[in-house]
Amino acid sequence: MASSAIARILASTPARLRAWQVGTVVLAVVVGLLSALGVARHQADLREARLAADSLLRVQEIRVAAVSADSLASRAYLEGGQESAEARAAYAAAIETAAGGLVAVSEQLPAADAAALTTAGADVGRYVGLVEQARANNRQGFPVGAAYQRQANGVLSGSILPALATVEQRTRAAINARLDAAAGNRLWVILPAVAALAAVVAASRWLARRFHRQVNVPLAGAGLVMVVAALLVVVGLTSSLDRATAAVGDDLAAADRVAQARAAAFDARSQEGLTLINRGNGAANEAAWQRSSATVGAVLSAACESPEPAPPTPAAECQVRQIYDAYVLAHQQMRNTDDAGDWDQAVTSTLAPATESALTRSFDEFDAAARSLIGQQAGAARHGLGASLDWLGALRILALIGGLLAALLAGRGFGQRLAEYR
Amino acid sequence: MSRRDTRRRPLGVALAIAVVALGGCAADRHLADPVQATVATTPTTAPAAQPECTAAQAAEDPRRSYDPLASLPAPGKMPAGSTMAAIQRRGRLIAGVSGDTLLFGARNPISGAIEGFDIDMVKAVARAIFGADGDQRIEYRVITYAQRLPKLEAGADHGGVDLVAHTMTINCRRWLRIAFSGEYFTAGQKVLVNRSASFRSIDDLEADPAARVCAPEGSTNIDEIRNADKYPRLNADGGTRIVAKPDITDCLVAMQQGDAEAITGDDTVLAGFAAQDPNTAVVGERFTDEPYGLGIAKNRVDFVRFVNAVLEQLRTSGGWADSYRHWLLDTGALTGTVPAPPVPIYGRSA
Repeated sequence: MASSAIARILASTPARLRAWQVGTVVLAVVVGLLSALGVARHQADLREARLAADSLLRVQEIRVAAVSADSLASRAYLEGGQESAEARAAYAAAIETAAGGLVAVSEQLPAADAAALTTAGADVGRYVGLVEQARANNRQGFPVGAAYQRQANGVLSGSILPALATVEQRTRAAINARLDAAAGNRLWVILPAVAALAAVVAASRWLARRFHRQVNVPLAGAGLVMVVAALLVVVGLTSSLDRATAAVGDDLAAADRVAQARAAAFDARSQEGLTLINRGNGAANEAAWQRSSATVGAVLSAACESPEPAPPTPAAECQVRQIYDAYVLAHQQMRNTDDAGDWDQAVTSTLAPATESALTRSFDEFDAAARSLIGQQAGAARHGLGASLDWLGALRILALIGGLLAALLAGRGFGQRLAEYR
Repeated sequence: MSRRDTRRRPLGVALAIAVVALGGCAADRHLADPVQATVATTPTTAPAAQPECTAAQAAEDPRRSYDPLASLPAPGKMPAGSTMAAIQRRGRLIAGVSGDTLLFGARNPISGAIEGFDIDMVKAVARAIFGADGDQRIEYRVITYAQRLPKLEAGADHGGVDLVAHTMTINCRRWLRIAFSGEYFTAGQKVLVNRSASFRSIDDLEADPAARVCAPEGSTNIDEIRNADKYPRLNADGGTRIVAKPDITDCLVAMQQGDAEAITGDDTVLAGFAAQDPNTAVVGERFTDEPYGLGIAKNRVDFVRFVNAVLEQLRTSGGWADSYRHWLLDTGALTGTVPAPPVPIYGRSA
């Protein structure tokens, strides 16, 4: 019987001492390793979260670039052959940002998302082709150009934007999942440390009973080292997690909201142009404007009405919302002009530069304010997530050193008693 | 405290530490799902049931309009109390037109002006009311096919229009809701195909099992080709060879992209397509008759008679022929010579 064989081996006190010595030393080393592993997992989770956050911000930049290209294309269509070189260059730049961004961000996304973005990239090519067809027909005065422009917008809103929205949503879920996983990593430190502490306490009690001494100092030191190391590592991990969750829950969430609002606003601006292009037949486009515009309001209102005001973010988002409201008012005035039969004046106010048109001015101001706020919040989120990874390497070494030091002390504690038998 | 309790203490402490340590993540700092605003849509009331013509009404030639005025009043001197006097007082004629039917009613993207054969008819009416500067006194409202009758029923002073010039077919059912001028153009359903294709009529398309024909959903054009008695092969296999699009212009896009071999529609509209795409041609004979009339509110009989007198003058003065030549022959949309204008039928009793 194995148990009786073990009992025979452990019959003598030195044998038991040696067994306790080996057991506590191994346990201390294992505790150190598991703690270090917990820190490594935490590090990996936060790195993944940081990468996913970066992907989310980049996909949103692509979405904004794509819808802004469409808004420029629909306004250029209204200008007919009078399209300015600057407007053309702005459109080309937006398309370049979208197409180039799709390729770049695909490389840092999971395979399924990368495949979705590759399809979206092909759709951007199709979109550009349709816009060119619309433009060529329009320059010759052929009304069929408007149908191509509608179709191009259909490719954007029916294929490209849903693909980007799906990837964005999966990336948000990945960030949330990584933060949840990171929160659980502290158990890798706590549970082994508790088990080891229990073993040290049991060993101390056995020693105390067997050798009639109050305290085995090295063994008590091992326990103390393990407790201190575990506490330091848990505090370090908790602080790192707090920085990461703040970066995600405050800064990234704000950047996410404002980017959604900005994309919806550009979509509204596109629909505004299409309503005028489809002249009299634009009811569906005006309905789409209403939907997109309501999304801008809802996204930014959620921040304005946040129950926990944490300045300056909500205040800044509310300010962006107020600027958008000015654009909504100018849009309504333009719609009233068109509905009253003055299409030419409505087109003029849509196409006129910011210095001459309240409509253009208010939209440009909204865009500038939203872009600046997204930049600030995205910068803060990237910084916060980067800072959450600071010191984690040192923490891992601390966990290992703590385990080794505890092992050394435990070995010495039993070694002192063993020496009495030599 | 018993020994048993003492042994439990480390476990309890550990659990307490775990709870405290993990408690930090209890507050929800996750990224929220994107907000999708919903817009309250006004419930769409089902369109009122279309009135049907009685047998007696259906028996009458729908082209029959009210007699033209014996003589036109001098421009700027419309008879007091007439519809024309009200328009003159307002200072502008409000016309419902198409914005994308090339040759009939379309915006010229270079000049920004709306122009075409239908627009010439509106200009003639405006000049008869206001005089030489009548062209500048027209307020164009670009409207959809579906808006043509409702805009007339609403009236120009309530967001509607005085007159509709929008390739509108005169028929009995529409007479129940609005009034028409005499026929000013005779159109008919035809097909548009690629010049390189061998199709020369709707029957050729019917016979070829690979030919797909596009038409706008909800149009009389698509109703015609969905008639399985007339076109059994086109309607075989669930009618998959009939390509329905929201707008007839989308059919031109479909044809240019190779998703359809032909488009069927009024020859007037198809002529505009042929002008936009020189690789296409309108072929075959008309297989339906579509007499076009200018639409006017049902109770404005005086205005119908006035417009009929204007159209009479246009026919006899050569203005009609000039417009036909300018929009349909000079553009290369149609070939041949200017035909005789359609002969209007009068004698409808108010």
